[in-house]
Amino acid sequence: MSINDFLTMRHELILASLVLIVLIIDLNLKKSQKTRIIPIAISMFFIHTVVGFLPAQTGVLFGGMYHTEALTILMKNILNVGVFIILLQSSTWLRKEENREKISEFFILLLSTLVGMNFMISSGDFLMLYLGLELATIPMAALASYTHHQERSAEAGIKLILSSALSSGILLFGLSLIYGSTGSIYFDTVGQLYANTPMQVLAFIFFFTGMGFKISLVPFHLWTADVYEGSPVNVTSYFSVISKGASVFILIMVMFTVFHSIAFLWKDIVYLIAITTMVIGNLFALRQKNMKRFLAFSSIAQAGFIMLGILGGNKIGMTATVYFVLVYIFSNLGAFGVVSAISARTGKESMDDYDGLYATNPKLSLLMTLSMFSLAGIPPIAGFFGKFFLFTSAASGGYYWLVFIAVLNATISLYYYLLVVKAMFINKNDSPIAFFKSDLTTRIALMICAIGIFVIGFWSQVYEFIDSVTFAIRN
Amino acid sequence: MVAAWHHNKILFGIEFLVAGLTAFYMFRLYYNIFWGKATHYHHTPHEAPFVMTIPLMVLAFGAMFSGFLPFHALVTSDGLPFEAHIDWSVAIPSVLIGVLGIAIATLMYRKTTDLPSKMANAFGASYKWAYHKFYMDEVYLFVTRKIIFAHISTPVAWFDRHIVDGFMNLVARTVENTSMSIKGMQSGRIQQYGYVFVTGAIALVLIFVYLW
Amino acid sequence: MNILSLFVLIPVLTVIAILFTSNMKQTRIVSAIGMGFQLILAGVLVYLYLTERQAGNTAAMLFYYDAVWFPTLNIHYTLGVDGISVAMIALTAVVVFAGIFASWMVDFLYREFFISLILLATGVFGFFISLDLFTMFLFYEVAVIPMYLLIGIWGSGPKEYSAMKLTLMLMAGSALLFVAILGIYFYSAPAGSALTFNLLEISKHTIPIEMQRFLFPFAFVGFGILGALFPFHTWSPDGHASAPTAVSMLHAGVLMKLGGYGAFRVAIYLMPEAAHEQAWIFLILTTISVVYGAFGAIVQKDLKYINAYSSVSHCGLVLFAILMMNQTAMNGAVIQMISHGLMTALFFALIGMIYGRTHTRLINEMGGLMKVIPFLGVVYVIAGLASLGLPGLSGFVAEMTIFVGSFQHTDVFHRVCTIVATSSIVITAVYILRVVGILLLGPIKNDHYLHLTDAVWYERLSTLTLLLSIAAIGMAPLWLSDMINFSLGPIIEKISGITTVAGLF
Repeated sequence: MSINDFLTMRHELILASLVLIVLIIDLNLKKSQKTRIIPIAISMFFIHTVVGFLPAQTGVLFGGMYHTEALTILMKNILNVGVFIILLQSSTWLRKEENREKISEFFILLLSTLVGMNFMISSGDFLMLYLGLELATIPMAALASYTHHQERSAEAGIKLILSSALSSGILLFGLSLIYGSTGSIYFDTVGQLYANTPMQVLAFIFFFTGMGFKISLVPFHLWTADVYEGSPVNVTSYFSVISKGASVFILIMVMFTVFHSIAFLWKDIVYLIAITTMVIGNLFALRQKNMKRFLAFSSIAQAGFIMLGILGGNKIGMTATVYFVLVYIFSNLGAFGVVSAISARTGKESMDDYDGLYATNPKLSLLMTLSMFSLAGIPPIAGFFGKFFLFTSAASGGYYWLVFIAVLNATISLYYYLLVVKAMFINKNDSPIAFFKSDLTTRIALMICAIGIFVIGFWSQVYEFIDSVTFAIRN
Repeated sequence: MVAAWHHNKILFGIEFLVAGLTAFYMFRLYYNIFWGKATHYHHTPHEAPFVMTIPLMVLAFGAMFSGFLPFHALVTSDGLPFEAHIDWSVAIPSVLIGVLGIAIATLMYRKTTDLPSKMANAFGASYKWAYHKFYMDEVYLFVTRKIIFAHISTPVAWFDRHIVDGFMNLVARTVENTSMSIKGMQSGRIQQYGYVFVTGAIALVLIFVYLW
Repeated sequence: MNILSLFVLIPVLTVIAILFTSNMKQTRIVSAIGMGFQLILAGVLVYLYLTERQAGNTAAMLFYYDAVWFPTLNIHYTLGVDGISVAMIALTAVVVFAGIFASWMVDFLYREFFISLILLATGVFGFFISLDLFTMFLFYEVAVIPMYLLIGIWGSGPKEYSAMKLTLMLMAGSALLFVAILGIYFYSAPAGSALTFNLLEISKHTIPIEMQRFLFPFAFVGFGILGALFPFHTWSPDGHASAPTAVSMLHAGVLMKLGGYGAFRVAIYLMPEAAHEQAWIFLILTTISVVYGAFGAIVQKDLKYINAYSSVSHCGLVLFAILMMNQTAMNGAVIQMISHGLMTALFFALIGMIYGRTHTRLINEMGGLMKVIPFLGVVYVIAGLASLGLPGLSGFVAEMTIFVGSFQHTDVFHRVCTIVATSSIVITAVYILRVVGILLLGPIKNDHYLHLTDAVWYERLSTLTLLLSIAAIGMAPLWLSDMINFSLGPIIEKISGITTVAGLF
């Protein structure tokens, strides 16, 4: 393995060493000094994020199991930015007395899953994909039950591990059928051999359900609400943004390359799934009072919107999808950042607790409003552009009615996003959450989100850059 | 009237009659106000101040002498003067009917008599109709209040609030109710989640492998 | 810098300046200066526009500016105005300016109030100067959203319900619009050449008729919801009734005009063939709007509801005239938009001022106000007279032109619609005079009203600005209609050069 090969795998290698470094530092710290790990880990991750943007080597390793190109690097960088924000947001919570002992566990588990996702994104065959998927899933269950002294958190962990075992099983069955019918697990070969035979369609559907589970598409979404609600806020935001974003990236790449020959068929599947996901996600989100549960269902609905980009099947579609995930990272992390800041201070997570928040914490409320509007797709902030491009890609395929249903769903989603705004600005409350000043890391994180929400939309270079590395369905 | 005489005899007849009626009611007013018994007023009547009498005089002057202005040449429809000579067959009866109207008014209202009430009784219904201005105001009020307000506008307003707006609200409420009623799908039981998952996968397979 | 960009830049700068104000006095002075400047700018724009035209510039759009925004999708930031948009911009500037003074005494979260109000105005200005469907749509939504906060926070009555209803219905409208815009985009150019959002480019190309048939209802109803098209108007009475004064003014005065303007600029201009085919459906709906709104207004007891229904009727008339698709009627439609914008803004301003004094908006509880607040009373009467189309005021010019234009159609269907719609004039007179009679004349019903004070300077400024504009249009309508006519010419040429494919009547 030459130095060039190492450079090609730069993201994964640095991350893996980060995990080890955190582990080693943790072993050498006394119990009272454990909090020191937070700034160290965050700054190391920051360096990793910056390094990710440096010019990189592209190429193929291990006989095609692993590949990088400009697009995969971009996707990894997008995830890195999101993870960086989450790490910043979680520092207040990690410093709490009850978490002191296991701070390093948080970083180790979280970064391991990120390594898994990076491998998934770079995978060149189904074996690597599956390994990455498992690496990204199993530590996640541990993360979900991070605050295991709480019953709900433990429940979330066990629910996640059981559900994902089931979905992995089905996915693996699909992969074995693919191997059985084509005699290969390499993307290139499978892509050339894939056809519209019943067994291969069956294999594809099983693969799709496995990915649908990760993205929480309806009807594979039922774990989402319980796990999101039970997990600690920062883990929830990791689930809803990073894990989901990574899975979307992989799904769209695989669908556009490996399964290009049955595109006519998977478009119908995606069409169906997109509608059910949007509608069910919205209907459930309408009545949620717990902020985490609320955001969980709203993220399901958002996943339905993302499907429209995949459905487009063209370059606009992929660009719009990647762009939307980027926008979604900032918008959703803005919302989760506020929820996490409030939850860490007061332990309050219900929407009713947010009544009258604007009077006491105007800045948090404004950021929350901004995030809600961005998620709802209100101009002139980024969410509008994200949705516009997604729907444009679907319309380019002639799916006007689907676009119409999607926009109507966006209108319904506006209703519940406005409910949050209403709670903060309009509802009266005798005992609102008192004013508090967040610490520096949280404020930096929220600042990044706010800037992201504003800038990404207007600044067309972001979109253009993404467009320069994406591709349409490959033949 | 000359014009009417030349063009339409029926119109002339009506105008002729109206001329007599005008003379009659003008003098009825005149006798009732300035003649007859003095009634008691809240304020003692007095002559109007100059601000009122001067315009009155100007108007009176105009009324008396404006007939001598050459209007037939000044105001025309086609730019040519309207040539009208005194047509005695029109002029004499007109003056006569005017005088007749004045005479009847004098007879009835010069002194307070019971002649007017007798006449009123004699004409009966038509007097009453005329007295109530042929009920035109009542008709108008009926049309606006009873028909437009009560039978068009109120139903329209009701329709708008309850049917049109009600429909919009119904749409919203249906969405909310659906949201309420499907809450049970999210039971919290992991077995059920797995069941739905597998069912979903199988349904997709059935649809896209067999039905497509 | 292009003068048109200033129309977006100044409100944005004003908003930023408001962020730095520390008390109510500063906030409103900053807002007044910003919007006053905007008003002057609108005046300058009208002047520059007229001089350009006089100098013989016959380009369809003046002050054209074009910058690429998203090159891959060919999204541009394109600005340009013709006589119609100049007139709309002037209207907006006047109403916003008056609106600032009408909300002079807002003291609860005043900074947020003025920011939202000016953001709303930004959206409206941006909409009128845009020539690119993408930016147009963007600004359209920018104009709709602040409405939620404005009504929800500073409103009265069932404000949360009304705000939500208004926002959701308008967003549902924009959902329709969205589909239409995307559809237009993908058929905006002949096969092989680059797709575009640019209105002028698209208008040179004929969108395939099957697509037009599909997209036209989306576009027309999408804008129609904002223009209070029956049966999608129900956001309007509740929304207006709950909104604070300035918001009602802006909403009825300006925002609802976005509907008419858009229906004309996007739906009919870009898809004339489908417009001709489907006009009859929408003509029936708009005719219903016109008469229905007027009848609905008669029996309302709340002043704001009366005005809201009256707006449904008047805005219905705008859409009605647009669908007539001839020069005279469309000219009338634009004048009606301006006239109604000013008039209804004036009404809402007055209602707000009267409500501020009597603390009720129910006409039965008021009476004889002319004696105690003569200034407001007289202005109210004049506004009412303008609304019922008295010659010499703007309403007459508009309605006259519309009905003359629509009567130019000789077929039975158009004639019947016109005659039915004309009856609204009478009904309008009924409800206007009824209100004037109960509200201003008659005995004073409440002793407390004897101590009311008449309008103060900022209220006078607000109402007189609007009143003068109404009178100006009424007295000298020609400069306005000339300005509009010149720009309408080529548009009508495109629209009416089409023979109806499947005329129903």
